[in-house]
Amino acid sequence: MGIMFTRLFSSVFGNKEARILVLGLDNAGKTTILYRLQMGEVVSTIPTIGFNVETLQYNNIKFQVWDMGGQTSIRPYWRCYFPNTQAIIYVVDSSDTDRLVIAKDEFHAILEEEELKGAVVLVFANKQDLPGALDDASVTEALELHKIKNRQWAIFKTSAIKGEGLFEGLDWLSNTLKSGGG
Amino acid sequence: MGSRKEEERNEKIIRGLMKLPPNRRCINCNSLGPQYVCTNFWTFICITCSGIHREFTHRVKSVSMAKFTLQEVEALQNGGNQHAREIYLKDWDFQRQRFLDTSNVDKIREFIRNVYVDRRYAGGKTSSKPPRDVQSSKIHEDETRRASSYHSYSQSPPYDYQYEDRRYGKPGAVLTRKPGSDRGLYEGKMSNLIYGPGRLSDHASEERFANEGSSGVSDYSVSSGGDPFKYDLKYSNGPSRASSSEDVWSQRRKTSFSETSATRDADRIPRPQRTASSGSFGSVDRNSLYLKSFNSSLDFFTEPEQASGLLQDKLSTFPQPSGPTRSISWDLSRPPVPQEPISSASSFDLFQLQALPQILLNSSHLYIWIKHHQSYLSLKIMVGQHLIHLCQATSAAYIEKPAGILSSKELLSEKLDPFASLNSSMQWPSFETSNVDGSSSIITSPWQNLHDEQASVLSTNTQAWNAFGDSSGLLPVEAINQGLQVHNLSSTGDQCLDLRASEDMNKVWVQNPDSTGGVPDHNVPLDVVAGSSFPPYVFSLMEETQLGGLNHKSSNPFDLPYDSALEQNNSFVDMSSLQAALPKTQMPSTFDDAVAQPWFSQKPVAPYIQAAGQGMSSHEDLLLLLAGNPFA
Repeated sequence: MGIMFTRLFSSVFGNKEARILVLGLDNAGKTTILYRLQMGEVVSTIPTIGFNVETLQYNNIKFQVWDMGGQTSIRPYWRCYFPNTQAIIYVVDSSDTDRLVIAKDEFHAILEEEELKGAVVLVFANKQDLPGALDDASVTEALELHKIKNRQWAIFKTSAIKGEGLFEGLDWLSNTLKSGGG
Repeated sequence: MGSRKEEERNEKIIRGLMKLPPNRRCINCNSLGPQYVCTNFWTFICITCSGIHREFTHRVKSVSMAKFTLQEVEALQNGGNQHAREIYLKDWDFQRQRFLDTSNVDKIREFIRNVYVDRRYAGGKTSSKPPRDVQSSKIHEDETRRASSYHSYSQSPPYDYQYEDRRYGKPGAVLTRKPGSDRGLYEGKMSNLIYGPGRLSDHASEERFANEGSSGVSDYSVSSGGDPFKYDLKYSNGPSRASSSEDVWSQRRKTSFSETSATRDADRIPRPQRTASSGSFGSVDRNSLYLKSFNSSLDFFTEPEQASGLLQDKLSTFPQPSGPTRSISWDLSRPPVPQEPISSASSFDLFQLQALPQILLNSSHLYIWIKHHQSYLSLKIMVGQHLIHLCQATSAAYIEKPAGILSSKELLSEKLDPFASLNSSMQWPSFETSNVDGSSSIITSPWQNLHDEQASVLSTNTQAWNAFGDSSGLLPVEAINQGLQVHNLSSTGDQCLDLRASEDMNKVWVQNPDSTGGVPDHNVPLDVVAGSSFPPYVFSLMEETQLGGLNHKSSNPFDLPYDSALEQNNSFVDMSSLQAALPKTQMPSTFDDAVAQPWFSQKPVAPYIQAAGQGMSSHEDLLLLLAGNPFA
């Protein structure tokens, strides 16, 4: 009885589950963000080979967050994880201006994917704590976010090290998923 | 981005660079087979260090998982670990190389901060001053870099450097190197590497030492000339162990001291006990070994450095050689020696090893030595021990009874005994009893002699030394069996060992006249040296191995032919005479080679190891290391 009620309750009031991919170039801060979100700590990371997956509960949404390794040769494997993904968190190293072009290319390549048609996109302009980091406007421009059509997207300035902007982004994500995506 | 073909070509070049001796090990922590490149400094680093570099916003790239542009490849060709060492570790006292514990991320972090961010060893006399001239030179270098090939470079290093500057207010990486292959450069620097330590140590002032110590650079930090042989893996060291080792050591030392003295006085009585324990130890080891795999055990036998390390530590503790060759079946049949003993035993060794640095703090050579066997801490040590014991047993009879070198003896025993006490106090007792029967029956006459003569620590020391030589001589690709047999032949083996022992001692003696105090006589020095302290010993030992490694490298390490190892094998007896003929003041290169060879001779084992699994467990790493570097 209680279980049934719980299920009913959650189906009405949320407690959704969302599968989220965290993508981005290598060294963008994906893993750091994942664990900052999940544990609230800055962990010492090594370049991710393969992926990390964690679940985190936020705003009545159970996020299953997949943090994919971003190194060049393993980017092609991202697509293996695209099916059934509700949202993409695309992480950009805002201080790595030299590779913003690459980041942009990768980003738009992802958006082209048929399997991600329905996914909302959250961009983290990460590493704002570093001097020389571009702000969100600049990153928006560099990534040509304005070219995005038929998709909800948002960009946040974040610093995974300082923990800034992450939960704001997650707020947007949870709200968007609740309202929009099923 | 280049075409696929170009990418492949670039990767091929990089793979080639990775095989250069300096690049075979992580520049920071010296772990084997770095798979990442730090594009700020163009160094080859391991994944652990790559993660830490990233914390400092240094860019890293995986060799296998990233694409490299032509510019990057060129930069890497001009860079590499050797070059980076010349820049960032210019003032680093390689003689004192201390090892970074791979598992101790904090220490690595500290090291990276000191070296690359603070540039503490980058050439300025003192660490504190951020050299102005470097700044200017850096600009200059940037210009040159741009002038060469960097403008077309999409992820241009200049940016990184600028960024560095901004962030840390210090010049970033410098990419100044005249064109020329890494190898050439490396060879050119060979002499530097070899003799550099001495030179460096001249101005390696106390203050610096203290400085570093306080700054938290671990005792085992870094790096060096980049030869694979010099280094050991540290995977096996758990951080916890590392941290606790000091305490344990000191404690042990205190507690055991009284016992130690007692032992010294009445050598005879305690000795049997020890013997028993060693026997049990041996059996346990062997058990585990054989269970594990034949190959691995073989490796250990061939590890000269390990043997030496073991020697030092185990001498007093395990004076009695448990005939290593003695039938495996014996060991195995032995009423189940629990597996735990093994682990505990190894950990003790570990402690011992790590503790040593404390005592011998002043000796820079020592550090090297520690490094050497630090990596062997695990099971293998035990094996090596066996080897040593073996040698001890055989050669013991011939060693003269030490005269009265009390002070030195004391020193030694103080160091060593704790271990012994440990053994007896810990779990060993049970083993002892069980083993006693077996060991007594098996014990060979040489051992008996040893017993009677009470060569004790001194004799053991020399023997240990012998063991070293012995092991290197045996090293053999041939196989464990052979080595074992040789050991078994007590009569022949004894002589060989004996010869060797004296020679070795001589060498030691000659090399370290200062430390030993200048005893001219052959025989006397032997005792004196052995008894006086580890350092000289270690020093010579290290020197040899080090040199061996270096020499090796300079003479194209990749080609290391198996035949050479075989040759050595055959000339087991000859080796000693060869050594004798060589000038004593300098380490004979041939001998060095001999020592170094074993590493390579192990190669055949590599496949097996790799098959063991993907994950780089400490164990596997060790094996890999022993296997003679799978850098291919």
